[in-house]
Amino acid sequence: MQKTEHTIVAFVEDEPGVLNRIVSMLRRRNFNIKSIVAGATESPGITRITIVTDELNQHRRVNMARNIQKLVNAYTVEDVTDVPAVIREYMLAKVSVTNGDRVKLDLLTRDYGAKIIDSEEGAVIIEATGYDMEIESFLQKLKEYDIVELMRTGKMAMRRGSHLELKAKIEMMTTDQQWTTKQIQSAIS
Amino acid sequence: MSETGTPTETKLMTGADIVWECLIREEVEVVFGYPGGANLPIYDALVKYGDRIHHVLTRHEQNAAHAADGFARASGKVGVAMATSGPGATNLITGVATAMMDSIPMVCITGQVGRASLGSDAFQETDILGAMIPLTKHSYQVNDIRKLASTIKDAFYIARTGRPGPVLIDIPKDVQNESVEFVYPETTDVLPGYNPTVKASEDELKEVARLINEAKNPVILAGHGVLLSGATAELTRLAEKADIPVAVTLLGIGGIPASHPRCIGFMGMHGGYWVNHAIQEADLLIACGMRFDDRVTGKLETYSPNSKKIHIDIDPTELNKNIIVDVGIRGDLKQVLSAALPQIKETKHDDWTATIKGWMGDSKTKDILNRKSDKLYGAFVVRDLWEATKGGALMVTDVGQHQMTVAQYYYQDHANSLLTSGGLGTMGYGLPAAIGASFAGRKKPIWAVVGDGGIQMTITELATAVQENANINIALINNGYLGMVRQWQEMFYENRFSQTPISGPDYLKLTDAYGVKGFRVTERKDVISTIREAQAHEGPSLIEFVVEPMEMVYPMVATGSALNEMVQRPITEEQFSDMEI
Repeated sequence: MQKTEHTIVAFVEDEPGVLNRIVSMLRRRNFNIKSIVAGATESPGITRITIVTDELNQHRRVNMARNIQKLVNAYTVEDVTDVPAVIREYMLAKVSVTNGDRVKLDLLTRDYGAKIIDSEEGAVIIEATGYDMEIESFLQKLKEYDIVELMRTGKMAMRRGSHLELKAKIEMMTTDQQWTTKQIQSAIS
Repeated sequence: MSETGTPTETKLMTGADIVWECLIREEVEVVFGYPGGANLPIYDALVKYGDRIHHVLTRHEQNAAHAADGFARASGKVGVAMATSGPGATNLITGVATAMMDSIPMVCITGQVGRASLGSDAFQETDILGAMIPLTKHSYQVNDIRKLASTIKDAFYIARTGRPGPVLIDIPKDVQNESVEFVYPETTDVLPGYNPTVKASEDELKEVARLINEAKNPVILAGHGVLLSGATAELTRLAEKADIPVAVTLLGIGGIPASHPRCIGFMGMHGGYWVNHAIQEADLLIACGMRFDDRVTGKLETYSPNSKKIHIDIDPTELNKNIIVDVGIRGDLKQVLSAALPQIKETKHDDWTATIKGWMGDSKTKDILNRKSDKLYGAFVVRDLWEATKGGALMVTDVGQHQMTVAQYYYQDHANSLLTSGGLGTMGYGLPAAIGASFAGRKKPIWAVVGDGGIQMTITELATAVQENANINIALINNGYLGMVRQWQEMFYENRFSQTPISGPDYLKLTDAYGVKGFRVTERKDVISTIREAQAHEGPSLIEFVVEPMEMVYPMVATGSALNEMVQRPITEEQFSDMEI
């Protein structure tokens, strides 16, 4: 089955405006984005971004990754769709409940490994994490209830296994003062 | 400061001084710009540096950017443009976008309101960084004086390496006034993710050689990358060794001498009929440093349908962008071609050459140069300019019909000798770019061919040309129309000439008022002699050629048509009777 979504992971410099540069480029080049999540990493000064695209054309997808890589602030870009990776999303839903609904809702929430984290009169807030199918399926079930508010974070992705070569590459880029110059010299000599 | 490199010297300096010190270290000799409130400190500091850097005051910031662009194209160095905040900075935008589309190395330095006022809609504040992000190769706002020198160093480095492009440095006014120990870093070291080129792999080179060696009807497509990479010799060697015809893009003109037997000419919307046919019928295209622009491909679905395609470009995002290729190689063209050459077999493609010659013969009869006429056509002017300058001028054009005519009839044998806004098609580019080019130290006479529409967009720069006594010659092709737009109205909008007739000043009076040497030519017999006279004049000169108003540029591929579906020039009755049937 052809995948309808692709997940790209980019490591970029943590500088003001970097997200602006990425989003501006994606908009300008007319790439379709389903979600984009940016956050801190184990290395200070490096932001990790997960981009989910439903761009079906493979050439366009490769081009999109290359366009991100082309930004001066980008360290590495990788399409993790076809490699073993953990892809997760976090969701908060506020559901309006009457007393009778509550028992069923508790069971449903437990079935999906989700949690009711707030319970006020008439409404509860449920948090759930999981891969996309799980979240989708949970949401389908929740539709029996009155969903008052819903917030999904978009996906985060991390490759499985130690996968140390990427880390080593980024470390070399950030510590070797001559990295760029060396790259150019080796390419044109 | 050790993290930004080894200090070369240590001295307390203001941000404004640091700007000029850095420019001197980048070997900048000329800057094009315009002062204003937010860059006053930089301009005040210039008084001290005026003997080492020449500043050219253009009459509009857009033209400062075009002049820096023209200087960069003519010199191969990084052009520098300066402007103040707000309108000064936004005025640069068209020039920056022009440079970006054509991969021109340029650094633009803008003043900005003080840091405390940022975001408050202060007087002459504009978010120029935000506006320029999509239009530049990279952009900076320097909010820490300690980062100013390294930012300028990085900006120049980014502008000229890899695929060149414009870089913006926005400097708040209070940063210009602050002082810091000046250290100019020796190396660029803060660009870990910037990796502008890689080497082609052995496998890629082997595949290139195999495809070229097996091809029967190959065509090389030579783009701007040939000039930017300095790969003329390698490209010519490839064309000679494997006997491959070379078609050039607008910006690739001069990448191989036009008179070289393997050069078949200019491709695309107004390219040679035979050139486009060769591309369509080819069994192998070798695209070198070009980007399959829509003006070059015509309708994508029908583009060169039966060919294998090799694409070599330094920018990986160009590969498979418009045209899906069989082999896409990211790399510096000169390096890739010289690495591939030893594996290319010497061969001959006589049948293919003869086929292309056949197409050429057919279209030559329809060429306007074969029209016997006493009238003055734009194409005649360009042809005579080529003859009078023996093909040795540094040509600059504006945008429109005359631009295509120059591409068609000024047979360019020299690299980096045609300055034209190709990608963006910026009217008004010609005059300021020619002024910029006059500072490049080239020995060639400079000829800016412009239309009466384009020059009226930036005609104020005649004053700059006079102030600088710039040795430029302007050939104004005056047909009283926005000719290219009118041509489209004629072909696709049933002759409804909506807003394309355009009047202009009395150019003799105007040049006189500005102090430019002016001429007017209305008959062909005076063309060459007037060109010689203008060129002999020291300083700026302008010849107004009053040409036939309704002339069209042929051949032409209509948008949405296949590349070989060209509209040829209709044969006049006169010509018809002359033809041997």
